[in-house]
Amino acid sequence: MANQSALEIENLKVKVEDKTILNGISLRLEQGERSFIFGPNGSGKSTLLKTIMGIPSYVIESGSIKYNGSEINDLNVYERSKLGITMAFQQPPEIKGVKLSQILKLCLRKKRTDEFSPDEKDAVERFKLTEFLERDVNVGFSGGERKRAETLQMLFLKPSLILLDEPDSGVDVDSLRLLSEELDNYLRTSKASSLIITHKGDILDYIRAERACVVMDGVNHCYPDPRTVYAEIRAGGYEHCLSCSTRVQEEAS
Amino acid sequence: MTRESLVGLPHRVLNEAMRVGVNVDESDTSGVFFHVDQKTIYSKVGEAFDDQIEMMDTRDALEKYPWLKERMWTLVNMDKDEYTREVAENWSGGYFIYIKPGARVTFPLQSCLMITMENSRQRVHNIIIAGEGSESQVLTTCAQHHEAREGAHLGVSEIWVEDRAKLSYTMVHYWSPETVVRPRTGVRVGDGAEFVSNYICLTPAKDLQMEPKALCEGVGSKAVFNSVLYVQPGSHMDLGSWTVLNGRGSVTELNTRAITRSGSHLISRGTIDGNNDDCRGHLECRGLLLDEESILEAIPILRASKSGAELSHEAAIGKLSEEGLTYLMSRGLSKDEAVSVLIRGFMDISIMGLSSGVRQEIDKIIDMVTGSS
Repeated sequence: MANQSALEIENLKVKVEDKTILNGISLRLEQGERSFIFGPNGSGKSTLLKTIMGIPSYVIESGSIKYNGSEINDLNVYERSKLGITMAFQQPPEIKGVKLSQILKLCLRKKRTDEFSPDEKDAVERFKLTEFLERDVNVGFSGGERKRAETLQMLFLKPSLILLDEPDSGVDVDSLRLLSEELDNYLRTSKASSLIITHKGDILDYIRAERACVVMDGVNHCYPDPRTVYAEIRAGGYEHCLSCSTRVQEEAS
Repeated sequence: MTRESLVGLPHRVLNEAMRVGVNVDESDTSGVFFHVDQKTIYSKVGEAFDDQIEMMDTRDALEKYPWLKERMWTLVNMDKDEYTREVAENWSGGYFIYIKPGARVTFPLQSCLMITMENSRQRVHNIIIAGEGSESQVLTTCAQHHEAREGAHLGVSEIWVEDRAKLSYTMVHYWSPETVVRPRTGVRVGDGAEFVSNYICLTPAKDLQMEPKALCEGVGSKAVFNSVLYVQPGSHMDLGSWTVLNGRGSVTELNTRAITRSGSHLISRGTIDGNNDDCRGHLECRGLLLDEESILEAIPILRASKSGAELSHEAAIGKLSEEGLTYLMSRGLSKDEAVSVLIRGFMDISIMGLSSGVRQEIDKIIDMVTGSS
């Protein structure tokens, strides 16, 4: 098990409502490894994360997703969550009548009537969510408030694979710093692996990752150094980065 | 007729009362009333509230207050239907609650009307008078003992909310699959007065039909009807609420949250009559259909006779949100757990403005029925 990859995706083809979105994605994430995912709008980045999480409308046509060596293609969201996979949604749903405090306790496997421990209360405070605890989840939350709530839920779940869909979009500088530092701290201490989608690249300043993955037209290309890749994308656009000499060949082969 | 403390009640009654969520700890109530089958067996006002409330059987109240005879049957028509006529002809009492003018009743007055005998027909006539400027809460539980099968509950309730009084009236129904239930309720709301009805029905009833009616006669009077309904297998329920806005500046809100499942049938009605140039009313019904064996009908009626009346309604029926289910499952909940959390959330009672004590009691009942923790 020591050399077992955390996540292995092979030639993954995925359709959503009869339209093929991913057309042969292959990537590998080692234990404790982090990878940024770049790509133009509509290239399939979010589809990739949602497929790994097992969201029902994302249908695998072919290929496989293995987590810690076992194929998870046929597992539902709950079963994947139980394996330690979790995702921060870019646009989480509003759930009327369910309070933020309740969903945080569910993540902690606590009953609704249980109290938060002092450490958990501290975390809620650090995430500036104390005053939102008795509000309905995501109802009337700003972009930043949603991101903070999503991230805290994930951390309370103590996952082994974190899927983050644009954690730096719609977030102010202070919130981004807070979220990133908390995530970075968790990833370092827990040895969890992570796939992080980013458009703007702001989060690169806070979280160090071992590799980058560029998704274009439903396929992907991986590289060893996210900062260099992001600089090249900024300088020459996504087309340019396809020709970059640092591209990693292993996943495609 | 009455006993010194609740401990003196038959265990069969007391245990059942606790099972259906009645708070038998008298320290958290301002008064307690028990009517079992055809008899009032307990009626007591807490010492701290002795000079603020009177509570007794309606028959006793008629003897004590001869004027009551003139008031009875003025808010509910005796000839409305066969059920009102049956109560008028043969009734076994009921609760009479008089909250004195200016009283501040901080703990709820609790009443429990229970059917314990098989094939019993309970016929009660309840009266509440919330005196001028008073503030109070009444929590009434109507239940059928789980060992008693068939039965019928016919309950006439007439409620006066006098000028500037505030009355929160919470009713929990806890019937069995073979009970026939016909409450008939009329309310009159005076100047600057506020009546809030919270109705919770989460267990089956063979046949339940009611449409309490509030007359907002006073200037600036207000009536609110909140209903949370979880209609169980085999139940047929026709439930509505009706406000007549006659007073200048009178206001009403009708809110219903309804869930049907496993072959149940619910007709959810709401009617607002706007009869003043300065009145406002809003009606909202949200329904959730858990399967395709059940039927849920929402029938909102807005009727204005004055052009200045502002009346509106929203009614929506749907199923549990797939997106919400998936989201909760991604947080480590099985599908069944996620369904339970969403149903529990749908039956949120925070809109009811209940005191924390009453709210905890109601929350416990909802948790019990939905299997939430």
